[in-house]
Parts: sequence; C-alpha cells; structure tokens
Amino acid sequence: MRMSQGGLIDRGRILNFSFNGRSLQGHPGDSLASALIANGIRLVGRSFKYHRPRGIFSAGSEEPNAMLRIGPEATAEPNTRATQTPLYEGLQARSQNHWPSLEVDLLSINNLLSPVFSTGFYNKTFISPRKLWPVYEKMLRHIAGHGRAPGQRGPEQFEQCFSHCDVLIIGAGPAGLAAARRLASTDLRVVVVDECERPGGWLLKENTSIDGSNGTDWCDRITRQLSAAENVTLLYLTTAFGFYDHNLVALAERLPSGAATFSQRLHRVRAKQVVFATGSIERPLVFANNDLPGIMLAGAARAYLNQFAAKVGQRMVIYTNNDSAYRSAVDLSDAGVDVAAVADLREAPHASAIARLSERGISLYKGARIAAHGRRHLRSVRLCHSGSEQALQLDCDTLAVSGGWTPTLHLHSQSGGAVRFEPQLDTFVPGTPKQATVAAGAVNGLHGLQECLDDGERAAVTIAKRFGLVTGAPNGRSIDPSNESVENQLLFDTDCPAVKVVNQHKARRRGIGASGKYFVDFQNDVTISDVRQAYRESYVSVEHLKRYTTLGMGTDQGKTSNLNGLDLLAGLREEPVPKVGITTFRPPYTPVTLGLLAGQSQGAHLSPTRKTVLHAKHEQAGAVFDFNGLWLRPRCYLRHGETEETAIGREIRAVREGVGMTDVSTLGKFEIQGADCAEFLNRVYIGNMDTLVSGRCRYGLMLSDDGMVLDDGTVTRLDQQHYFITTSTGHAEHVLQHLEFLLDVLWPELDVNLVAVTEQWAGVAVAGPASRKLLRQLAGSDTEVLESVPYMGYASIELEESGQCIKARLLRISYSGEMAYEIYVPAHSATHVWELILNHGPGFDLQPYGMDAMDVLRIEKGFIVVGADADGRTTPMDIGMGAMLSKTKHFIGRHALTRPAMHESGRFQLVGLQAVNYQDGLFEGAQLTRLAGDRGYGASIGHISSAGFSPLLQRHVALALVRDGRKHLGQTIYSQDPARACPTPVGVTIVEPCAYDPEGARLRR
Amino acid sequence: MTKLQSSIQIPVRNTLAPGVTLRQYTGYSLLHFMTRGDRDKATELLARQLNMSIPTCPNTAISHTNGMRVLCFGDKRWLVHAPVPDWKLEPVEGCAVTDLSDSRVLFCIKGEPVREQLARVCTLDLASSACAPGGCALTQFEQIPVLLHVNDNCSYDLYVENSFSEDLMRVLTVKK
Repeated sequence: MRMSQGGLIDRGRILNFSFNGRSLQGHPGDSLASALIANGIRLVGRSFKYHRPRGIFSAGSEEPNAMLRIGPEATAEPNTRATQTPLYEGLQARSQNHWPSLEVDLLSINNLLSPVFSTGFYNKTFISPRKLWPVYEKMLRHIAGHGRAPGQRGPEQFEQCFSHCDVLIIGAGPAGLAAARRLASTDLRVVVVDECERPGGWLLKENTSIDGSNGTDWCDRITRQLSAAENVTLLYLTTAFGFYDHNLVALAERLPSGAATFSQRLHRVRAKQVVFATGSIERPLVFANNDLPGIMLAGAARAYLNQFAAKVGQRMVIYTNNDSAYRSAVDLSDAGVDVAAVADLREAPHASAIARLSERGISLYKGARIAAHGRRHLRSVRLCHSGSEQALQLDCDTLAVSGGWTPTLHLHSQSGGAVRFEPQLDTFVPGTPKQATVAAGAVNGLHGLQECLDDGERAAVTIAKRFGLVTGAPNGRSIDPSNESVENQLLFDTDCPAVKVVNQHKARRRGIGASGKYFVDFQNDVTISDVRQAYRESYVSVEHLKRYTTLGMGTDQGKTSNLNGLDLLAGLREEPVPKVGITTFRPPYTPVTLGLLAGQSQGAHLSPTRKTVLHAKHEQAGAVFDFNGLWLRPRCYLRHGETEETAIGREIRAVREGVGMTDVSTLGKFEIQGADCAEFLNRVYIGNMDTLVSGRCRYGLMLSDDGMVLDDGTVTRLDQQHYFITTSTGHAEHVLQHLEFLLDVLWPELDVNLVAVTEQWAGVAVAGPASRKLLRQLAGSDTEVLESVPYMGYASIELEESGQCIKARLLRISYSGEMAYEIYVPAHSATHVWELILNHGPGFDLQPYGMDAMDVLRIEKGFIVVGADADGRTTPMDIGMGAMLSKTKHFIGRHALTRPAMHESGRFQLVGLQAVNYQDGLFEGAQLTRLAGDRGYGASIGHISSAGFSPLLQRHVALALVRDGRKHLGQTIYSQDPARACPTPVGVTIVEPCAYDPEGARLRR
Repeated sequence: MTKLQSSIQIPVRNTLAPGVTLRQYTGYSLLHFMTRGDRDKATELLARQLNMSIPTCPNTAISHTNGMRVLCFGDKRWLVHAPVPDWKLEPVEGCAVTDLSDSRVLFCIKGEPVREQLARVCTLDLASSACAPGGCALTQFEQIPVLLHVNDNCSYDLYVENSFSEDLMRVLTVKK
C-alpha cells in the first residue's frame, strides 16, 4: 500500500529484501517496518506468552510487537525492532516465537489456556518439587518467547570510541535542532545525536510549516547549517542508551551496512552539558482485543503516511482521548484512506478539531467505548456511547489509537534527575536535574511546535550561560536571538483526560462484544486481569507489580505500557498516580548487543598480551606458550617428535643433573632508594630487613592488613640506600599499588623513592649443579666475584663476550632447590645474554626450561606460589613460615595475626602429599576427604593447590591446603577429582611439603 | 641521536588508518627522576643540571631545542628524555634517579586523522582546547599503560612498556 507520491523515500532506487523467505521490495529511506507495511504485511510476530498474532504497532523505538530476527539464518540478530531498522539491499528478516509457522502457530493454544497461565503461574507451578527445577528450567527456556541467540558469529564489526564535547544534544527533533542551531554559532563543541536515519523527529512525520517552508525542508536547512559548522558533529542512527556519572553518556551508533568496516560503534561521550530533547511517546488505549494486527498508534499511522508514503490500511477508525489523533484522521483522509469514524472517549472534543473532521465528512462518536474484533487481524470494531448499551459495528482493517503522550524521561532519570507528576498532562515530566543537564521540548510536556522550538532555544541560552557566553565571552560568540516565524501549530495537542484504561461496564461490554483480553503491556502479554490479580495478591507496590507481572520489562522496557499500568494500579489502590510512584529507569534505553559492549576487546584481544624481550628467542627454541597473568611465558620447549610430558621431564632432569636456564623477566621488580628504605622494608615484610647487609639477598613475605599472605619475593641490598626487590609475576601490579599507597598515604614522612623497573631489567635464571661452571665461562675478569657470591648473595658483574661487556646484577637465589643464579641485565641486552649463555651451554648440556618444569621443581622443594598455595585466606603460620615473623618490630598485618581465629584449630595448613600408590596421579584442584566414600557438601577437608609429575622421584608430587594438615602428617586421606573423569578416589599420605633435599645442601654448594 | 625509524612492522592483518603514520624512535635515554622532599629544590637542581626549564605542573612537559624533554607526570615525578643513548644524570641530593631507558618503546603517531584514530582507544580529550601541545598524561589504551605526549594537534609520542609494545601496535591499527 505504497502511495504514488509523497514521503521521504527515494523512489528512484529499489531495495530488495525478504521477510520469512518472501522476496519484497522497498526504497532507500524506508524502515523495515514501513517497507513491510508498504508491501501489505500486517502479521509480523507472535506474542510472548499467548502466541497471539501481532502487527506493527508504532513507528519508533517504543515498538513492542515487531521484533524480528535480522540477517542470515545462522547469524541473525534476534529481537531487532523493525521500526528502527533502516532498509538495505539484501536484508533478511524473520519473525520469531512461533511453531511451525507465523501464520499457523500451534503454540497459540496458550491463548486458549490463558486462564491457567495467569500472573504468577510460573512462580506458583514450578516451585516444587525443587529437584525438577533443572527440567523445568530447560523447558521454560526453550519455549520463552524473546527470540534466540545466533549460533554463529555474525559479519558485523564492533568498534568503540571515546568522545568529548561541551554540549551533547540528545534528540534532533524541533527542540534539539533549535538548541543545536543556536549553539552552533558559539565556539562550543556540540554533538547532536538522533536515533533515526535523518534528523527532524516528529517534523518528518507531520504536516507542519516553519518560516514559510514545511517541516522537512526546515530540518534539511538546519542540518546543512549544522553540517557546515566546524564545531558541530551530527550522529544519526545513534541511540543514547545510558547515562552515567559525571555526564558520561553511552551512544550506540548503527552504521548502514557496507558504509564502513564496522557496523556498530559504541561512543562513550563525556559531555560538559547535556540537552535532553528526547521527545515523547504516544500511549495506547486499553480495550478489548487491543492487540490485533491492524491496531496501531495514531501517530505511527500518520508517520508511515507522511514520512514513508505507506498507507497502513484501506478503511480506518480512530480511537482517541485527545486531539492529536484528529491530525491522523485528517492526513489519512486527505491521502485517500477511508476514515470511517473517529471515536473519542471525551464528551466534548475541541470545536476546531471537530470542524476539521466535518470538512472531510468523517463521523465523530463522542464519549465512545470500543472493542476490536478479528482473529488474525482486525476486521471490525464495535462501539457504543459510554452511557448506552446500543452498539454500532464498523468494518475496518485499521484502528489508530491515541491515549496521550508520555515524555521520554529515561535518560533524565538515569542521570539521577528528579521527576514530577504534571496533573494537567497526566504524566511525569523532568524535575530538578542532578547532573549538568537541561531538558527541552516535548520531554518537558510541551506539545506546540512553537513551544518546542522556543524551549530548545531556551535550553541553548541556559547552556550558553553556564559557559559564560551570553554577553559574548572571550572564547566565543554570544547567542543570537531567534528570528524564526512559526505558525501557532501543535505537534501533539494533548488536552487529554486521565482516561487511558477503558473500563467497561459489564452491560456495555456485552453490547460491544468486549469479551477479549485487555492488554496493558503488549510485549509481555500483561492484561488488566493480570494487574488486578497481582493487586489482589498484595503486590501493591509498583516495583512488585512490575516483577510479578513482568509489566514494563522486556526489550521495550514498558515504553508504551508503564503509564497505563501505573494508572490502573493507582485506580485499584484508590490513590493518585504520584503516590503510587514510578519504576526506576535503568540503562539501556533500547537493547544493545553484547558485541557492541565488547567492541574490539574480543577473543584474544579481551585483555592485552605482554611478551618478554626474549619472546622471539623462546619461539626459536620451540616454546609452547601459556599465560601467566597477562604475560605469555614458555610452558616448555618442544624438540622434534617430543610430547610436552617428555619435554617437561627432560627439562627437569637438566636442572637437577646439569644446568637449565629460564626467562624470569616477568617477575615484578622495583628499585627503592632513600635514607629510610630499611625502615620501610621492615614495615612491609614480616622478617627483619634492617639487618640485611649490602651484597646480600633475603626471601621476604608481605601481608595484607588482614594478616593474610599478599606476596612473596626477594629483597636485595645493592648498597646502603639502594634496594632491588622482586615480586611474583602475577602480583607485581598489586604490590606496586600496595607499596605506593603505604608511602603516599600512610608514611609520607619516609624518604623512600619507589620505582617499578620490571621492564628495565630482563632476567635469566641459570639453575643446576653446573650453573656456576657455566657462568665462569661468561664472567671473564669477574670470575672471582662470581665464585665469592654466597647463597643469598648479590654481586654486580660484567658478562664478557668477544670484548663486549654487559653489566649485570647477579643474585644467587634459587626457586628450584639447586644452586642457581638470577642474572638481571638491561632489557635491550637480554637477547644477547640469552644467546651468550646458550652458546656456552653445549658443554654442560644446558637446556632452557619452562613454567611447567619450574613448577615441578619448586613443588618438590615445597616452595609456594602465592595465589595457589596461599590463596588470600592463608597466614604465614598456615604455610609453615611462622618462624619468619619478627617479634621485635611492627609490620603490616602483624596486629591481625594476634586474633584468636588465626591460631585456632581447623585452619587450612600447607602440607605435601604422596600418593599411596605411586602410579596414581595427583592434580591441582582435586578435593581431599578423610574417607574414600565421603561425598557432598562438607566432606572436603582441603584441596590440592599445586601438583605435577616428578621424573626424579618417579611419582606425582603435590602441595595441599588441608584442615589441620600438620597435625595429620603421616595419615592417609583421599583425593577426589570427578571433574577430571577420575571417579576413583586416590589414597594419599600427608607428608612434609619438601620432598627433595630437605636440608638444602644442594642450594648452598 | 634519537631517530625515527623509516618504517615499523605492524600486525599482519592490520593496517593504519589512511593518513596516519606510526613510527618508532631509537637512540634515546629515559631517566626517572623523583623526590620525596622539596619539589622546588629538586626542580631547581635538575634545571641547573639540564640547563633548561623543568615543568612543575603534572601532565605538562617542556621540550628543549636540543632534543631534551622533561615530562612531569606526578606531583614529584619526572621523566627525562635525552636524545642520545646511555645519557646519565649526575646524582641529585635528596632525589632518586633511575634509568628506564631499556624499559619503554617510544612511538610517534601522526597524521591529520590521528585524533580520530586515537579516540578508538584513548579516554582522554585530545582536542587542542583540552590537551594543548606540550601536554602529557599517563593513560591506558585498552588496558595498556601509555604515557602520552602531545607534540602538536596531529602528532603524539607514546611511551609504552616493552612488553606491551606489540599489542599497542594492534590497538593503534585497524583490521584490513
């Protein structure tokens, strides 16, 4: 039903698209909804609960019915509003929530069973037996009616960007454009966004004139002016969906397919001032069968006609409680639609409105009550006077309804702004703002075009004043007064009584055949009966009503239903609407895809990847990488034909029997300098650090305020006032924040300069009985220095090769239990040093080793990893390091350790585990039980925190946190690991954590 | 001397936005300079040694015609960028000097649409009215810590830790 002329579509071009496989055509400028209407499609979906037939109801973001799946089958995006989807070539649309087809939906049996499916049905029916809930849930999810997620990733690209501006104008209707035009003449940075494909708002949908030209031309003229202004950015197809603290506004921009390499972009806009020119949304009326396809908002019928040149029907009735719908009658009648009647709830509509109908011979029924009839779509309406039982039947295919206008308060409310009830308009309007915002136009309850334009100007002046620009500020020009001449015309003249829910007297209901359902919320199939039942069951709070009935939930968030539901509840409570209150508006205003929120940060790019300067060397050596925090580290180095297990075993043997090298650049490293360093370290670590002399290292444990282990590492005193400390890889950032907080907030008086040098110093650990021999080859003239470095000692040496010297920090510390050295060199020298060591390696069977080998080596020794073996609930006593606690000084966490609970029995303590049967595997995360048959909640007495296979001991080694573990040394418990498909419990003996060289003789050689 | 490499290897499947160039500097020294004591005294001593003005306001930088640049990125923290490798600062009383020359990679991203490109990942307002040439700021590009220096409206220097440099190139480019 496309008209031969008019509208804002490009008739010169054809766009092919499909709906449920049927090929159709539209034009550029069409929305999917307008194209469907123009092609005579009325039935577009089935309702959520009752599977009732539904048609297009609105022309904007408030659409509750026309939720379609858009795109190729495998990647189709569900719940996409047809009214907000610009038509493009090749668009594929499908209806959702029906089986087997849209026309014949067997699930519509729910409609017949609706007395059973009343409000609270699910809550009451599926609450017991609880054991069956998983079955119920699966079934309910399967039949839930809001589309299904695509099975494959779609072709859409998602991007994000950060924007900043002085003024963000949300809505490019008359008020928004008026404000933008005024602000464009200043030097302020202005961003104007609108959710439609072109600016203008209702001006595009109405027959209006401004300054002698029609509304569309005026919009185009203003848009050209704004586009030409350097300080103004216009964003179309962009929805402001969330308002957050400090004027942070989230925008979802949809880019027409093929226009760029991405199709959706999330803008995070930080605006100094925001103008809400968000307009208002027409309310439906509630009457019998008010959901039939063919019934739509009166404004929408007008919009499809004026903007898209699409007639919504051939014979129409209009049902209203205000004058704005009369405009639809006039426009549609002038376009050749047979407007059979206007039924007005009011007894005395305005004379001017009546006159316009009379001119066109349209019948008017005052004080009318109505009911709709039809099965798959509207066939007729029956109406009668409110004081009469005699009904009149009018055959029609379209019923346009209007129950007044609701300001679009969502963003204002999200910004924390107050709302106030306006009795004359019977709706809420913005009250006092909380952030730097101004509301303008229809959102303020203004409905005259002149009023809206003036209000836009007023908002601009208010904003300009806030920037000090009224009288001409140094950085900008003053605001010019408006010289627009606008006829006194109304956009939405809503002199409406507070009657939106059409309560029918029983006798009159019989008269008009009003036996159907009265829908308040179309998207969630909530009827008047549901609201009444909820009220009877004591859900008298508007928030409870919402959750019990789902009124106002779903993808449309009750844009067309909230006020009607509120009116109904207020009537039931016999209280005024303001007293009943309004539900909270939460982002998003309209649905956004998860892809948009994720943006570029998807898959491997969810978080950054850190690589050491030796990464290329590891790749050359055949490393298999794994993440350790953000760092990519070698897990092991594969040789030709080797399995990972074999490689790890080989690497472990190399360290135990010869020499191995590994990259320890990822360890957190800090330098501290200053007169009070010793005092600072004493306060941070549990051991005495003031006794540490220059040239020595010490293992250190630091605690959180609550006495739990925060991190461990080493402290090296380089000279009197200069220390080098290392932390675990995963906790470096946390430790830095902790130390900076202590210095900047708690102890600003300390002369301690802390700098993170993790990236400045690359580290290579050389470990094994032959490590010293190997390093002798590199130490050159510093060989004696190397020989003299004791266990836990430090020296500055120069590594020599072909006359080239590299200064290095040499720390004789070990994480493997073997004699070992950590060599730290400036990062740019690291690859050279790695090669240098490697080149001298063949004589010693040197092998690089990875994280997995390192893990087994340290588990054999009982060395902990903070995060695994100390998990944030672990004290130094729990991991057997109570002896390190200094009794002569204060340190962070000391006081917390005096709490009785820290010393009570029942704490999880670190122990070693040895499988009773050496061939049994032990795995991280396995739960430990006293008996093999112990199962279920409370049976666990601990878990394995670290585990691996020791080729040297020829068995698995493990560390575990076991309740009162140290009291049970020698006892057998059971490891249960059903998640790894090991159904049989494994008997394990609790042993000391250290399983290898407990005296530490190999370390000190 | 500090040089700009003629080209830089960017991720294979990515490309720079039209009109934007990304290059890497080589041959420079970076020294972290901080004090816990008197800031004025520290800046005076540093200024005397460098023979140039020292920025005292955080998020500002001063560049000298000889290529020296001092960036103030904290209340009592500065980064001294010298245009030659292995450049050293003499010890300054009451202050700590730490060599960070090996810790960071320095990129220069420039071009007419560079602000648009950076807006994809940078939360800062880079408009000239908000971020004038000579400004600097510690920020994050998609969780990657970056010290950003504004050369002019179309050119920015980015100091990024070595380990993040490869990922930063991905972040600064777009998929082909």
